[in-house]
Amino acid sequence: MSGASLPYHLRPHKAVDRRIFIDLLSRIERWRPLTDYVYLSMGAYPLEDHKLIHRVLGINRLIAFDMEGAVVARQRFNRPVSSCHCIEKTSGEVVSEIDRILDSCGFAAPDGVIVWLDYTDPKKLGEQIREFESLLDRLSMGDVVRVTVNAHPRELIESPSEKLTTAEEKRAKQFQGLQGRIKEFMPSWATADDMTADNLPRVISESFAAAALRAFPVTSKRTFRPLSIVRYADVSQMLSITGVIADRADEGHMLSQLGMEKWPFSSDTWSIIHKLVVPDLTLRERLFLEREVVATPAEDIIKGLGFDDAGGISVANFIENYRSYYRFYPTLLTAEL
Amino acid sequence: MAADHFQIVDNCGGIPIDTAKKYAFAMGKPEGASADRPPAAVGMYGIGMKRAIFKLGTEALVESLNDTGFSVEFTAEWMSTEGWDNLPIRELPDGKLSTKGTSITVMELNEEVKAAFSSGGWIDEFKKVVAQHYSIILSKGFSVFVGKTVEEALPITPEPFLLLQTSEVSGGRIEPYIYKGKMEGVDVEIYAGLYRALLTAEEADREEETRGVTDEAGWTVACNDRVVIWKDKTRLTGWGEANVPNYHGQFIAITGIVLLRSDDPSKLPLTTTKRGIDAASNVYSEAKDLMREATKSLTSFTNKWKKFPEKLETIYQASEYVDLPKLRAIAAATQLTAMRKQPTVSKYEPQYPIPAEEKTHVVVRFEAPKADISFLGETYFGEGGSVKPGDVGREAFDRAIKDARSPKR
Repeated sequence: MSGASLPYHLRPHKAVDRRIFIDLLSRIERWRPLTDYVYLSMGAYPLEDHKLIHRVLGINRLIAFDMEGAVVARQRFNRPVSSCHCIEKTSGEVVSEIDRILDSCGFAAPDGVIVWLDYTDPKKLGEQIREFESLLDRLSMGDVVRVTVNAHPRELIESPSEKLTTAEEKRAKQFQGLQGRIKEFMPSWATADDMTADNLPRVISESFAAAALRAFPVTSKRTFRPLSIVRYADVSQMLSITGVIADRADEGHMLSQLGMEKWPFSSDTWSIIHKLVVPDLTLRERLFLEREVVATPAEDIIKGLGFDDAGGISVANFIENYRSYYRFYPTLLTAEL
Repeated sequence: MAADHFQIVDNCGGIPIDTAKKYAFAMGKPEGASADRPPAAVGMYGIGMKRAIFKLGTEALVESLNDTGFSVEFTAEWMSTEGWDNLPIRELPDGKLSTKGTSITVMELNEEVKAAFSSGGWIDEFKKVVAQHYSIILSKGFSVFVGKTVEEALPITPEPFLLLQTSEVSGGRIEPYIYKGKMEGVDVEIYAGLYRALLTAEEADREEETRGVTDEAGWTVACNDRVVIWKDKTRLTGWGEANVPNYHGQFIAITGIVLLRSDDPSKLPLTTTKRGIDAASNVYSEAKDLMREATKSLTSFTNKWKKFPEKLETIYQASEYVDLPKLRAIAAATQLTAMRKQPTVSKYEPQYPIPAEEKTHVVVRFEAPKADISFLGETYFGEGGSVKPGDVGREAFDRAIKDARSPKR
């Protein structure tokens, strides 16, 4: 289960993660104007990210893709602007044909591209990381790449029906599963002990780092600079990596323009991974928290709430986190139209 | 390894002062360079060390203690001179160096080197290369620590060479091919087999499209324990030569290792840089005949099973990995048969399992509309859940044959 079958509006973590991405893009805008960029991502049937990108950043050149014809037809109905192209392709095809796709959508030679590969299938991590490398091979300075992959240890075992008695056995098997998919990218320090929800994201993130290093070796003029790495779990744990292709010589200047040191979800290295904890809040709780969260100490907030457990998540634990993302918390209301 | 310097320190006995004077720091071809070589080494005249220093930077200091401690300085001025006179060796007073060993420090690193050593990712990739290329030496107990600082330096774990071995199924079992003997003064050992399960039909199809699994197939060749070819899948190791097919995804499970050993390193089929194999040498071309024989048998095995993917599971019963020391023990305990062509080499050719259906069954392949397949799938197996197209086809065939054979009313 990757969460793919869960309706979008029931995935608050994903919604917050998406808003964090938009917030990062608006910081990137301080460095380079994004208006004439092309935004390309899967988007699924509701095209939530395309809508936001268009509304917040004013980007009109949008491309959405999916491998299912039925989903693409639905995307076409839901697209935010008529300049949003919806095409039936796999992610692998999009990566290898990216120039042709930009051209056929009438977006040849844009100022830059923003590509989000929002993967769901944990069994295909090997393909996903290789696609990421090959995407970087085809992109240029100023392009933004974001990948989301499954990072749940449970998903690393091919046939979970096998009898595994101890946690050690399970982790050994999971490690073997991961090696079978991406061994050549994995950091040399990774062991079976890292097959935990807390450590696996770092192993996967560093594996993407190795793929980025292949695309841009240390001697190349450019580099892929990670900007924000976030993990969260609506159902299964996911890992989102966002970065930008920059000239090595210009990296420091770019970072200072982005003001990354002041941004709570900034990742200076591939090992800095932010964990999102998003509890399901009622509207009243949320309004109370929004008023208090910036200035009031955590213990006073809990006192004011009168409870310290929100559906299994300790309020004390998420309040720090919430301070960083409350601006992005989605308002989900039922409405009759 | 750091952005501003590189240092390598060993405790391996140091360089005797005579060797230093005669070979290690002499430029050009050393005179009378044949005596006093350590047995079964790869390097001979210290050429590799000098090459490495030149590649890294423009200033270096070598210090070593075996019998008499000494230091040698490579300066930028010396490097830029044309003649490259022999480097002055400065003998050090007793007690200046305390452990028998050598340390090489390179300052003023070249730009490319600086960029590499500043990158944690590059250093980690380097560690993986060491783990592969020195896996045999490392697994014998030699330790290598690599890091940005001495405190950060972590030991490197050797990348083991592993082959699968299973229990007997339908008159055969998966176990290693073994060749052992002597060719032109070089000891030869070859082990080949499978390191993972064969790809299922579905996986093989996917691999044709994009690579999704770790590919560790191919031949590894080591000379005096130093790996010179790592997991090669080209003509260099016999793939696509003679009757051996070209390497492709279906052969992802096939791997092998060749161990060549001689007390006289000049007999080994090495290129002058010691980083590659001299493919034209007699020893290697004869070894390659054996490698091709093993590869051919293993490709035939995977071809036979390709047609019966659903039976594949049965052949991996009680599968376990055997590493190099264990492979050698197996070779010592196994009755090897002599080879007609090369009487100095004997071999063990295992009997691999053969699908029972090979002679009696054929494979049926056809395409059908997706909608029809999912309709039939739901009709046969109920709604919900995804059924593989192959299973739908099989069920349809089974039902059809049952129906056709049942007595008509």
